[in-house]
Amino acid sequence: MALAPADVLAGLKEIVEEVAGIPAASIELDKNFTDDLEVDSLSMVEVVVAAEERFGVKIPDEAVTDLATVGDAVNFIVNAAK
Amino acid sequence: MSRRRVVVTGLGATTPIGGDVTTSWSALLAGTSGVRNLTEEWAQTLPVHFAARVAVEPAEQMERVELRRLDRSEQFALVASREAWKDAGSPEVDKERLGVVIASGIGGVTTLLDQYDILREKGARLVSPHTVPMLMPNGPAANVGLELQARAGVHTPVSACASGAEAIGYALEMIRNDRADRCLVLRQ
Repeated sequence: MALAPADVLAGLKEIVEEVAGIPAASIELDKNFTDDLEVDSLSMVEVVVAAEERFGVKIPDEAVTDLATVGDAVNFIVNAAK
Repeated sequence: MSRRRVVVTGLGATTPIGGDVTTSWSALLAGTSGVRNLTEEWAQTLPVHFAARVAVEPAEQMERVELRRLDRSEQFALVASREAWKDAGSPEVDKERLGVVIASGIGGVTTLLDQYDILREKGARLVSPHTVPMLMPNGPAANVGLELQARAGVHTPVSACASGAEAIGYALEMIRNDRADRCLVLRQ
């Protein structure tokens, strides 16, 4: 099932806000999860698992280290859903 | 070990008769009981339908994101320690000389039970990555220690009903042995 990048971004914003308490308005494609949003490693695991549930995709542990920015995550999820 | 005198400079509490020291003390003097009926559905299958639960839920005193990363035992510890620290005047201290000793009877048992249910019903992938820091008996002390940046030592005596008294004694020894100038002590 194809996913629109805008829909994935909107969903990710909700997840990151819920998990890490970061206001959705400050979550943008170029934001780095660690440096800009201060999402720690345990919270990142929660974000990944919640994203898998929400978008129906698998995000392998080895891929998570490459998801530096919100945009990286959106691209990965969009491609994984194709 | 020196016989240095040690004094209490601040108090904090969250109890079945009050969400802070002042309320709890007033209720205690008034003879108020903290025991209430359990009306929730899950409690109806139990042989006992009453308990002394906290008067003020941590959810009324803490942010949502903070709550979801903490077991109830850790939430209680942070609520009481914040009151105690404030009551002590929020002192400027050398963090290398600040200790935390928080006694625990069991630790994060509700987290252990909840996450075991998730493991059985939904699988390992959905078990929270925060499970271990939430269920460990020293979780309350660890979280308070992190918040206060205490680096003289963060300890958790676990000795059933004696845990609280042991915590007070341990903190006293930390000060008398010159490991710390101040300690934040709680019992659960």
